[in-house]
Amino acid sequence: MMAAKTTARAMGLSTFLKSLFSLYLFLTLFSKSSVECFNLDDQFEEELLIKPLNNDFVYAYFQFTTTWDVPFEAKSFQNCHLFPRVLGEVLGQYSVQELHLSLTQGLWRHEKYGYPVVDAPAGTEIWAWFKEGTKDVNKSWKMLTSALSGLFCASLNFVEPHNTLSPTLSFAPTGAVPPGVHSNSSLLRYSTLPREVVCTENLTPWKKLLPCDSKRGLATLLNAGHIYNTNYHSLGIHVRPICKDISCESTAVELKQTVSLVYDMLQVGSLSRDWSFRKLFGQGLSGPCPLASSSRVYVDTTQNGSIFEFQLRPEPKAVLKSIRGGATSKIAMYDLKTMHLVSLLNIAATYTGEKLEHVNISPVLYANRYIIGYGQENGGIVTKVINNHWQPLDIVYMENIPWFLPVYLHTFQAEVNGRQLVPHAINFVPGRERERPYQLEVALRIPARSTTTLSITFDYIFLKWQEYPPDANHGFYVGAAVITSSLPVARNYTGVPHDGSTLLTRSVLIHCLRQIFLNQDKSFENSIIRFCRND
Amino acid sequence: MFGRGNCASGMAEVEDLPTMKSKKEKVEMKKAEKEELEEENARMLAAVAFAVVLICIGLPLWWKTTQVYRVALPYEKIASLRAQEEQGLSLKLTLLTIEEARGTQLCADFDTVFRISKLFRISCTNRALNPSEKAVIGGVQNLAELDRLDIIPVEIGNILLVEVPGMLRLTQNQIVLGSKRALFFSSETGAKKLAMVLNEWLLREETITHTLKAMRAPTLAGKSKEARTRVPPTVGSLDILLSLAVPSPEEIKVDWDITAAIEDYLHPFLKEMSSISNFSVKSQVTYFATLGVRKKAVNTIELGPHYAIQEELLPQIISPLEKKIGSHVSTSASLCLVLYIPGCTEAPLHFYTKKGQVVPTNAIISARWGGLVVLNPPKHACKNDDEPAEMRVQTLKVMGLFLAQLRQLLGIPELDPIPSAEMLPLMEAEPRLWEIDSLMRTRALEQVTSATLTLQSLSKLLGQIGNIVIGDEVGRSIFVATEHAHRAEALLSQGHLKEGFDVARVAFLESESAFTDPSLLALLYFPDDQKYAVYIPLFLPVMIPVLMSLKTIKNWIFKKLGKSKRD
Repeated sequence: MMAAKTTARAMGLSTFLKSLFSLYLFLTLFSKSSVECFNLDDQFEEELLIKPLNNDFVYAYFQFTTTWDVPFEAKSFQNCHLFPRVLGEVLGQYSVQELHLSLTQGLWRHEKYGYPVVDAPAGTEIWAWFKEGTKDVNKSWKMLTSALSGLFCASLNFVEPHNTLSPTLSFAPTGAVPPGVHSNSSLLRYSTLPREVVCTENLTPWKKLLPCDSKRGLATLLNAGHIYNTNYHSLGIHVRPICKDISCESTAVELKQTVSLVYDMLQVGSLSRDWSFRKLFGQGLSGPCPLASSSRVYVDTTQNGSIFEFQLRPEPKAVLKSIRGGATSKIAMYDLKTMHLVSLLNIAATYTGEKLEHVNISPVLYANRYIIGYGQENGGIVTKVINNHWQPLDIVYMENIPWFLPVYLHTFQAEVNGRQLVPHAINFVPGRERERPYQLEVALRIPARSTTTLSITFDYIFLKWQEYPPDANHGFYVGAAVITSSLPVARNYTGVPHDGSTLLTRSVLIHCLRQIFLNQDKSFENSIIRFCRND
Repeated sequence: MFGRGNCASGMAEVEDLPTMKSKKEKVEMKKAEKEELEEENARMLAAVAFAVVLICIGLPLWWKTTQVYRVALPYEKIASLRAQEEQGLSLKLTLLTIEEARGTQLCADFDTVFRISKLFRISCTNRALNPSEKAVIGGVQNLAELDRLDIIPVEIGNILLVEVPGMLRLTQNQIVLGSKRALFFSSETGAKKLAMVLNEWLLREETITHTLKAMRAPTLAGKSKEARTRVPPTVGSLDILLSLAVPSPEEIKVDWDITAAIEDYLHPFLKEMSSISNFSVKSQVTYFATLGVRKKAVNTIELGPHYAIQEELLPQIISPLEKKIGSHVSTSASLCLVLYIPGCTEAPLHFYTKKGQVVPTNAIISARWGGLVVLNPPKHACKNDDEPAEMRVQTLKVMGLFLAQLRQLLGIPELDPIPSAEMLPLMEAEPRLWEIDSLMRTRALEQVTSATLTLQSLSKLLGQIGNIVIGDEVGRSIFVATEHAHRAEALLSQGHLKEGFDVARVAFLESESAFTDPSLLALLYFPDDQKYAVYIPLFLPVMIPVLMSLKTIKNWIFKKLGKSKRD
């Protein structure tokens, strides 16, 4: 009874055809006058930024932006053109205001690489703002993550109340917000799954959301065989409402799909620092996506001539100067829409001149994190925040500690050069066993040119046998801490010069330095494993 | 036991002692005996207490706590759900004739014709047209005007038959079926002809019986064309996804306002159909998705050089399109309507039937999946190779095809023509009222039958397998479904089509939700041998001494009773 046959069968057509004829002949009688030429109100842009980093690393950042001039609501997503319908349906159904999802492998090393365009911790990170008036935010959040789990083939269904936070100081909405909403953190949900790995099964559905799929344009460069051969790899989906114009009376929808890759050139190819499309992505570029209104490749040449020297081939048509926060960067631009490509485009850089060893200009603000202590009662987490600036910096530090590592607020210390630092504000939500994680947010002013040590101690809870993760040798993963700050200078900042669809210039640059520990730090892994064995 | 033995040997020694001592000893002996008796009593009472606790409290507690939770089900009521064919479906015919005598005669004829019907119970009333009605009918100029007349109100499911004086001036045909619930006939028409039109176009008893038979025994009944095309009744709500597929946007830029097309053509149609099912319409544009089948290059006189695809390859054609059709939110069934604009490398594209004929509409339909329409780009579009050529889609033509497909997919069939009878053509996207009635009749019967079958097989299953948990939710669903199925049967047999349909739908949805409830599977596999494997090592070591002590307790009690009797 339940076996509905889905096999498609063509039916006998003799009568059917007759009816088709008759029907559309008669329909001519009631031709409705619809709008003559219909205006497509969506746009798609694709960008690739390549930035040679110090120490033989190359950072490649893809950004695919779809903007759509419709209000951000369920009804708009019923009729989609360039915007992916599957994603729109999910967003509309669960009354999402803003969504950020990243699937990452590897660690972004701020000290070495500088700042990325979009920051993401290892594993999966998802945060969403829900619309004002959402009936049951927790239920919507659960449904949203389950739907996205199906959409991206990622284990987002493991996002549960016991690993979800609602930060009050961090993760302000990045898009256009109706006044008063961003103060209400009950509409914000944030969760990380640090153990989740990203692979081709996530890339394929991610590519399917692009209007050109992976058939044309910059997305053809994303070959699984090459882009997983990197030190850092991050897929991202960012949806938010944006202002239509400067007055911001109405909003539009923006979907930004990003891929960040960091290649270690010495590992990728022939032991030389030279890079090219072929070397990085395995093939050249056949042309732009025909549906894109702009399709550009940028190469950051700011440090060309100072720290290293390279020659670009083919020669860029234009070199842009981008000034942000007092720092000037030079960017070579290739506009694929205007280029007449005879063969596959292969942008290549050949290094000339001496290789300078160990030149590293650290960014203004970065952090390190490690585990201290021993045994089941003396664990501790230490985060060192380094401020290289000549002025004090205000930061918000957010900890996301799972329920099985209870932390104690009275043990929290912020120390600079042996002196205690008094936080401006502390927001602590103690966890509950198997119900919610420990959430600690601290607003601090860290002094100029200093290293601030933030520490807190934790215990370890006895777990039920089913609560141990598989693969005991991995240990337990703990989500990244997040540091939010507005930086006075944009040194080491990386950004696409023409930033997709941001109409309002952002006055504040928000940077999240996120690090994950436990999967990198072997000593802690071992200590955790010892915990398991002791049980 | 050992204690007693020691005492006995002690007593034997005592007898040899001097009498002086023996008195004292005797007293002591009696005392010991008494103590011994008391001790035995205490021991026995303890054993009794154990037995009582275990048997009177332990066993019932164990029974109660390990019992499978099962809500009592209305098995008898479910079994008493009959096939709807037996109950029948009532229907009212109203005849308006020029002279009353003719009407009475026709009614009598209908009674004899439809008496053999197993499914329908037709009641016929007739009266003569009054002069004002005659004047109005006589004044109409054409059939469309006649169709628009509301002579008397007709309820949902019923049919009005009107004899039109001087019908010959309007049409050559004897019988004209309007777009509402009225059938017009000329004075020459006989009862036999009218009954034929009623049966083949409006009631369609044979098809309905066939469908129901196929539901009861899917393997036995051969599937009719209609049964294949129809949407399965397992549909509470339906998503319709309209996709525009453009495989090569760099060559052809398609200009089509899908939103307006949906608003103008699909919504009016679906609004009328909303009494049958809930619909939601979505649309999307997919680029670079090509048909997953190889095209054959053909050159014919009529069409010139073109590419040909065999119609029966449809399942392969649609699989590349399927990738972008799914939804991660909606749980309802979906129908896809795809407009495919071939690129210059594969245009023009034409479908061929099995017999090798070109499909003139270039539209194919796949039962339960949806429909595909191919719209070839104009020839000049493929000449300019630098800039993509603009192509305007004729909404009317495409939506006409889609509507025709949708009618079929939703279960409004194309009817075979009957000589000297005609159907007024569709002037709007909306379906004819009698078509909706007919569909509603079929669906109501299908839903009652499906609910009956589901409930009966579920009750059989639950009756056979004792350790399936029947939760409150499942129990409630079954009760509601049973009740509604009974009510639907009654309502349909009384001739309340709309109410009957609505109730049948509730019955159907509730029975499905009961049948597919995941809680039914929860303890399905928990066999008895495993139960014993768990209980025996746990309870046997406790139970054996208790059970053995029962015998001793019995002996002790009888001994006590005998003693008290002797005393």
